[in-house]
Amino acid sequence: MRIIDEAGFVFSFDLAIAFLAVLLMLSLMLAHFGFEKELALNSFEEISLQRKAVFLIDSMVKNRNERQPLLGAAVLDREKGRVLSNELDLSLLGQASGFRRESFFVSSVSVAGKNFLFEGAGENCMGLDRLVLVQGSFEKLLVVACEQ
Amino acid sequence: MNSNGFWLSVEAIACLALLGLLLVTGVPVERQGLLDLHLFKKENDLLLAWAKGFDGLTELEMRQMFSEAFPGKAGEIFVGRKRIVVGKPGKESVATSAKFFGKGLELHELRLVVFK
Repeated sequence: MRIIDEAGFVFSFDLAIAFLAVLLMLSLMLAHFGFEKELALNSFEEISLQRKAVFLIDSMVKNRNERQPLLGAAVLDREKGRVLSNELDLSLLGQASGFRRESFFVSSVSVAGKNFLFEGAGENCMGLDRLVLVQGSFEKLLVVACEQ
Repeated sequence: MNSNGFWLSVEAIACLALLGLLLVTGVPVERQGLLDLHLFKKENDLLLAWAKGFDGLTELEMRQMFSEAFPGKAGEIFVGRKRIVVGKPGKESVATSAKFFGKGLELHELRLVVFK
């Protein structure tokens, strides 16, 4: 009888430890998945801001848009009848009054240290720079875009 | 059949399976986003600048322009077969190249590598 009692005790003890081990592993897995979810959400927001900012500054440098200079401020060569990409028209850029699309907006634009626009800061901002030609010399165009 | 032993074995297999699942899920990897694309576009801007003023361009000017465009980064500039190293080369890089004709219609090739 005593041997059976001892075997039963060992068996129950082992079962309890195994059960606790399983619970611990389950909790680790759930914590891991929760962490992954947070990381994925943060990445999604970050990538969304990056996508908008990268394409906005590219559009500003490559295109010409006289109604919205922040979407196109390249020089227009009227003689050749084409837009000169990477060459910035500062007079057109100076006419910019801001750009906002839902929660995304352009916070500031500066060329060679001179500010052309400042609309305040948002909750989540990123700054990007590009090299542009301004009246024969190469300068840095800096754009800060934010999301509220 | 020993039922105690059977259930012990089932429980041990379940524990091992859970542990294996936890190990397989791995460590979350940080996603790069679109910053590589932006770096690529900046490199193209610099190549365009060099191509436009290629005739009077010196190696020192190219190094200076590189350092201004990519502060704190290392890179390699290839002018034809000539290699110019700026800083200490790393492992991961973004590269781009450009071919253009000079004033005498001679073909030039520039290649730019920026280490991340």
